[in-house]
This record gives sequence, structure tokens and C-alpha cells, in this order.
Amino acid sequence: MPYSAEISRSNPTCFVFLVDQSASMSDSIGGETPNSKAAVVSDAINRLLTELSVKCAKEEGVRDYFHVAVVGYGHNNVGSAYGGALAGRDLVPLSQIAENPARVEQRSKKVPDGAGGLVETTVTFPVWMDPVSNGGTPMRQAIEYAHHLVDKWLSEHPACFPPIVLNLTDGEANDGDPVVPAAAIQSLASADGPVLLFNLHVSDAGGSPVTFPDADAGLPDAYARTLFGMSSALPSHMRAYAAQEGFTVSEGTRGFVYNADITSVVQFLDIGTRASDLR
Amino acid sequence: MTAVTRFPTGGQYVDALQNPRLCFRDPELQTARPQADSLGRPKAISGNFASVFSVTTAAGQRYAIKCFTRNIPDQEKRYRAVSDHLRRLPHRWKIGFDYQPAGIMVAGQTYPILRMEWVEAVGLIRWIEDHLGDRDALFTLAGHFADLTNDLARAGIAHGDLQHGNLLVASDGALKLVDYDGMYVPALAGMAATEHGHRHYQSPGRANAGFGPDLDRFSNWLIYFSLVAISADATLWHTLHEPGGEHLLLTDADFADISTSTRMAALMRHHVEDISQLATQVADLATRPLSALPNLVPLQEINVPAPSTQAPTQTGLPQWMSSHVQKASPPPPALVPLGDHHQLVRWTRITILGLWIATALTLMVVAATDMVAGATTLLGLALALLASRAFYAFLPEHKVRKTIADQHHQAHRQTALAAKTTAILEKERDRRQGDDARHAQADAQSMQALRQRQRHELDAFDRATTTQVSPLNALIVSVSAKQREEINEALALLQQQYVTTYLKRFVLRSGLITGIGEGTVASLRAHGITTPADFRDVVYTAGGYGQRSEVHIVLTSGRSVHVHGVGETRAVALREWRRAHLDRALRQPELPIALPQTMLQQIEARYATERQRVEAQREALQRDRTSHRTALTQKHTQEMKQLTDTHNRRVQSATVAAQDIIRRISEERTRHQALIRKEQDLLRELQAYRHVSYGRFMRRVLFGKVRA
Repeated sequence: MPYSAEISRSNPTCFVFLVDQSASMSDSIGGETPNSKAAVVSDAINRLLTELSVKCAKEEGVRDYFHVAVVGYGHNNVGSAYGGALAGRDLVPLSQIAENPARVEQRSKKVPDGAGGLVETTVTFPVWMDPVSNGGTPMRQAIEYAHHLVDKWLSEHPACFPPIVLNLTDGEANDGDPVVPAAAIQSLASADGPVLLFNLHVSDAGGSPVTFPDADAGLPDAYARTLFGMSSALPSHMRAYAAQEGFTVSEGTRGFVYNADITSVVQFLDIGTRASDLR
Repeated sequence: MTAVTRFPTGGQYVDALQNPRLCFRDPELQTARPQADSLGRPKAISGNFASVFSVTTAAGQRYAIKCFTRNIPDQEKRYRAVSDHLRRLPHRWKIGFDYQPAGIMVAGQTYPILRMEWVEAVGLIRWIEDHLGDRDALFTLAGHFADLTNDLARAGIAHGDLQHGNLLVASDGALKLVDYDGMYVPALAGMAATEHGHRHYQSPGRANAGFGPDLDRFSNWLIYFSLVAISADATLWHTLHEPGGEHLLLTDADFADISTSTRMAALMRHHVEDISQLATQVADLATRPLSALPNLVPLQEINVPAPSTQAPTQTGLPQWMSSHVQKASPPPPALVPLGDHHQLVRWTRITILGLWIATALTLMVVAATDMVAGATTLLGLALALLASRAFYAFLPEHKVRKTIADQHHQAHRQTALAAKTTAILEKERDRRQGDDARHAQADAQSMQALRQRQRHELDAFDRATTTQVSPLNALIVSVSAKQREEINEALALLQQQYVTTYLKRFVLRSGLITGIGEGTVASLRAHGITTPADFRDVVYTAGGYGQRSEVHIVLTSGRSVHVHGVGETRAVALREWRRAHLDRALRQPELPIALPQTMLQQIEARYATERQRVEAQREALQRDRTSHRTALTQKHTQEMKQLTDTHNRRVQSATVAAQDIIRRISEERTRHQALIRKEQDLLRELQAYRHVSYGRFMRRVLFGKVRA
């Protein structure tokens, strides 16, 4: 059965985040507190890296169940988007990521005080990458870059849980049709199944947020539909978790999110150990 | 369906725990400080269902707080039942816990927590690695584990996820069992299991097992067997356990296909009989349903035929020998006195006297020089001495003493030789043991290297298979999707045809719709609009610059027309008239809700050919790949068998050689011991002749009284 390989230290897998850093990402996205798309995306990446680190934390520290690359594309070039000690590196073992954020911010946050009121507190927020927005959108090139990383990884780890490539973008590629390299990267496979390509679309085109749809009917524009079309279907156990979390799923459900939270993808990953889970 | 609860993520709990006063409901926990990670954030220990945090309260009490990241159905009920059941049991392996249904607040919502007693203990794998080679410690732990499984079985409990991560060993060697999320207790009979347990500790039968007291049966045997095997042969850990692997000696792949498992083969062919027998038993149990598995029966002891190494010989007598030597010696034999031997003494005296006289006479007659005189005197003395020695040699007790002394001397030499031989043999034994250990390590390394190469080879093969099969899978999925689409389209067309026919029955007449009279009806008819089937909608087109907007009617063909006399009010009425009929049409029982069988079959047949073609292609590919894979695993098994056999042969011949040398050492020691005893006996005998000496004889000759 595909997508059932163990994720462990002796059988790690890899995660490649592709981050759109083009000029259009500086546009603000609507909402209560308007934020640039670039800021939304870098926050998402920083949260994903935190979630992965927490998920793989054990007594002795964070285990290298994953090797993770954060690849930025914009300003007509493609490359590592890590800041700080990891700058310039592609796939990095998770334990090193956990130890080396570029900085740790104190963010203030209003939380319920349990008695009906709100109280302001601060929480720490590790930051690995900062928002950048500049130049064009070489998405095609970025997917090809990921292709190289993943291909090399697979030749060294042929039986791993299939690598996951997560592309975060506002959807407007300007170096050709991204559908072709997207199909190519999904034709790569480990013994456990083809590579998974997921997309997070941040957009100011409006419309309601969409999480893990199974059809492109409700999507607001052509970019969203293209990104939906090039996203992999969720493997069955991820679908089951999505259903548990209250999402409506079918066999056609894809790893695509429109203006919504993608961190739940991390929750859907089974680290190590379980034969399978029951509902 | 129960309401879906989305649980916070591990990261959200880390955020929440930065403010214990706000997040916890329990006043004691509100004072707690979580243990921090290297970034100063609360340090999580995560599993797939939960993250656990270590906190210390203001009063110094340490707890483990489990925060759940996934919903577990009936969690509270389960924990209450487990808690009630465990409370009555006195067992040492228990960990105290307290389920708080609304223990923590995250983003304004409360969630349950489990507050657990903090245990100072290490995980099983680390403990094993710390105790590799300590046969007794590992065997004792295996015994503790067997006791634990029997405790559980007697209490009607199943843990549900027995594995290295849930077995901790305290500093006093006590085994602690943690994580009771999936535990079965009798009060939970009839409920479903929440998990299937760790993949490397379950037999293929676990997937179909219900939720009952026999969940742990296979894991029990597996863990016990692994501990015993590691105890008897520590090299197994290096050859079978992957560094960092989430398993002990075996993995799920080994149980899934025992016949191709090189690990199973290595264990089932192991030279220690207890290991090979247990391995065969575990392999057999993996093929049976859990309910058919027996309770764990531990071994009383483990027989390892490897040479037992003795403590190296210390200087002086070896320990095993001193006990013999220090035994009370037999009473010394009676002293043998020097006999009187009158005749002999007399003859000796006469001879000496004669010699003296002869010497004196010679000196007088010759009147020689001083020098010659001196030489002659000396010659006389020497002759006297020789003669007296010759007479002494005739003494019978001297003859006996001499024989004993010779024997003693010989025995002494033999003893020294035997000691030397023993030392050489012991040196040889130590050299062999060193060689054996080096060979065993080299074998272990080459087995591990082979296993890794084989694993990579097999993984790469499987990867190539998946790469080839995946596009065909995708093609089949897309053919099915296209088929579904065409069926839906055909049905939609059929429904549309029915609706059109239905709507055509209602011909527009003057007065039928409020505000639409003869004139409008005529105008509409001029544009071909006589029934609700003739138009689709009404739209308002934006007028050009300085013009008013116009009402257009969209015809069925898609063309829109402006009908003279139809303004906004009439348009709305027309649309309402159409919608009313349309609604009715859609409610008609005659409205087709599925394609007629013949049409359906036609479409399906068209796609079936395409699908069958791809499926056949996939099947042929899979068959081909499977047969190649079988050949590959056979090759692997053969390679591993060769290596294992070589190793086993080496171990066996080394064992034989070691036994041989140990036998020889033991024989040589026995001989040495006997020689020492003999030497001492002779020495004692010799002691009895201590009065039989030349000196005493001469004293007797020169000064003794001689009875007539």
C-alpha cells in the first residue's frame, strides 16, 4: 500500500518548501489586520518549521525524521531562503533547524483569561525566514530546483515516505507553465509512492478560504484552478485525518489550500511508529 | 456522528505553556514551570497523538503533562475505566495519572490533559545499549518483563501498544510501563481499539484483532525473545538492530514475509539452540491470530555453549589449586636414623689409619723436599676422603635416601615443566579468545554491511517498480474520472430533455401571467417564445453612454433578444412563471435520476476497454517485477545464508577448539597438581632421612665410640 512507509531516523524523508518571493507578494491580503502576502507566507513557513520540530521532539532532543529545504523564488533567481546560521543551505536535518532559527521574536498576543476577558501575553516565535518580495515569479524554475533536490534524496533514500513539496504562492508564474514541471516532479517516486506536491495559494482575489477541496468549481480564479490542478491527491490516511478534523473529503481531495491555514498538513503526518490509526 | 473536535497542534501547546497561570485550570499546575528547550521554550516530547511536557510546581512537585493533538473517541470514559482498574492492582510497573477533562485552555477553548507522575527512568533501547554484553542483566530484565506480562494477563488487562518507547527501566532495574491511551481493561469490553500499536511489535494478525485482553500476546513473545537473544548473543544487536531504528531485532517487514526475511533466517539458524527455538516459535506465532496465541512462558535459564572463561591465573598457586594444597598434610614419616654399621665404621677407620701410616712412612723414607711432602700429605688426605666416601656409599639407608632424592629432583623438574605447559596453554587460550572476539566482530560488521547493501538494493528495486506502476495507476484513475464525468453529462442531458419536453406543455396565453396581454404574447411569439422551454433567463444589459439599460431575454440557444414591450416588471413575471414550472418539472417522479441501463452499459463498455488495457499492462508489469523481486530476495537470502553459515561454522569450530584447549588446560592443571603432591610427598620422605648424611657418618667414624 502506498504512503505507508515508516518515517524514522533510519528511514527519514524530506520536505521541500517553495516560497514565492516575487514583487506581487508585497500586495496586502485582506482581513482584519491587513498583511502582505509575503508576510503571511513567511509566517506560515516559520510555523510549519516549529510544528515539525515539536512533532519530532523526543527526550534527547529533536530527531532527524525529516530533512527540510526552504527554497525561495523571486527576483529572477531560486535558492535557499533560510536566514541566520542555515543561510545558503538546501536540505537540512530537522535537529539542526530546531537549534538554529535566525532569531526568536517575542510576539504579544491577547488570550482569553478564562473569566470572559482577554489578557495580553507574550509568546516566543522562532523565525527562520523573513518576508521578501522582489522581481518576477520563476515558479517553473523553482519546481525544477525542487525536482533536483528530491531526485537526489530519492536515490539515497529509495524506500522513504514519499517526499512532500509544498509550494506557497500567489499563483502568478511568469517563467512558463508550471503544470509541466509539476507533473514531472510528481512522476518521481520512492518505493512507497509518488512525490506529493501540495500548494498553498495566498491571494487578494477574495472569495472564501478553501481547504483541501476535491473540485476546482468553487475557486475564484484561473491561478487557483491551475494550482489546484497541479496538486497531488491526499493519500488515504491523510484524508482520514482531514475528515477527523471536520473537512469534507472524497477520493479527489487534493493537497491544496486557498487563503487558509496549511499547518494541519504536519498533523496529518504519522511519524514512525503506528501501524495505522483507527477512528 | 459525534461532533468533530479539532485539537491544538504541538506548537500551539508550546505557546500556551509559556503562560501556565493562564493555560492550566488546576491551581497546582498554574504555579508550575515547564522544562525549557534550547530556545527557552517549553520542551515537548511528542508522539502521534500527544505532546508531553515536564513541569515542576512551585512546591517542587514534578509532573508529566500530556496534551492531546488528536481526538480519541470516549477518551474520558477510557481513562476512568483504566484508572479504576489499575487502582486495585499493587504492581510496581504502574504510573499514577489524573485525567483532567478541561485541564488546559488554548485559544479560548478548553481541552483535556493527563497529569502523570514523573518517572526517572531510561527507555528500553538506551538501557539495552548501556547493558550490551551483560548477559545476566539482560536475562534478568527479560524475566522482569515476563513477570509484567503475567501481571497484566492475570488482571485481564492488555496494554495495546507494548514497545520499547513505553517500557522504561528505573535505576534500580525495575520496569515501568507507561502510556495507557490504548489500554484494554474488562470494563471497556465491547468498545473499539483506539490504535493498532507500534508497527514493529505487531503480528499481521493485529489489524483484524478486536479490542480485548489478548492484544499484547504477540508483542509479549517478541519483546521477551528479543531480550533473551540479545542476552545470549550481543552481536545480534549490532547485526539486526538498525542504528536509530524504532525496533529491537525484528521489524514488521520480517513478520509480513517470514520466508524472505534475512533477519528471521539469521535468528532461526542461530547456533545457540534457545535462540533458534524461540525464533522459530515467534515466526510461527506471527502467522496465527492473536486469540490463538499462548501466554508468555519464560525460560528458566539460557544455555550458551560458548567457552566459559575463567579468571586469569594469579601469581602463585591458582585459586582452584590452593584449596587442595592447604589441606592438612599427613603426619610426617618416622625419622630414619643413621645405623650403627660397626663393621663398616671399623673398616673405614682402619683404612684411614692405614693411609695415614703409609703417608707418614713415605715421608720419613723419602725425606723429600717440603713441596713433595706437602703434596704427599694432600694425596693421603684425598685418598682417605675418597675411601670414606666409598664406605659411606655402602650404607643401605644412604642408598634409599639417594633414590628418594633423585625421585624428588625429577618430580620437581616435572612440576616446573607442567606449570610452564599450563601457562603456554593459557596464553594460547587467551590468544584464541581474542581472535574469536575479533572474528565475531568482523563477521557482525560484514553481516551488517551486507544487510545494508541488500536493503538498499531492494529499496531501489521497489522504487523503480513504483515509478513504473504509478503512471498506470494515475491513468486508471483518470479513465474512471472521465467515465464518471461522461455518465454525469449524459444524465444531465437526459434530464434536460425531459425538462424541455415538460416545459413545452405550458403554452403562454394572454392573461396567464399578470400584466402580460395579447400584444406581449404576440411579440414574444414573434421571437419564438411560447413556452417556458423557449428561454433560459432574463438579463439587464447595461446601456451605452446616455442610454437606458435594456431588458433582454436569453433564449435556449444562448442568444439574447430584446422583446418590445417587455420591461423590467414583465421580465420578472416571465422569469417567475418559468421558475415555477421548472421547479415542478424537477419534482416530477418521471424525471430520470439515473441513466437507462443500456446507455450506462454503452459508456462503461467504452471505458472498460481502455481501463482493461491499462490494467492488463499494469498486471503484466507487476508480475514481471514480482518475479524479479523474488529472484532478488532469493539471491539475498542465499548471500546472507552463506555469510551466516560461515559465521556459524567459525563459531562452532572456535567453540570446539576452545573446549579442546580448556580440556587440555584442565588436564595439565590436574597433572601439575598431582606432581606438586608427589614432590611434596617425596620431600617429606626425604625429610625423614635428614640424619642420613656423610657428615654424621664421618663424625661417627672419627669421634664415635665403637662397641666391640
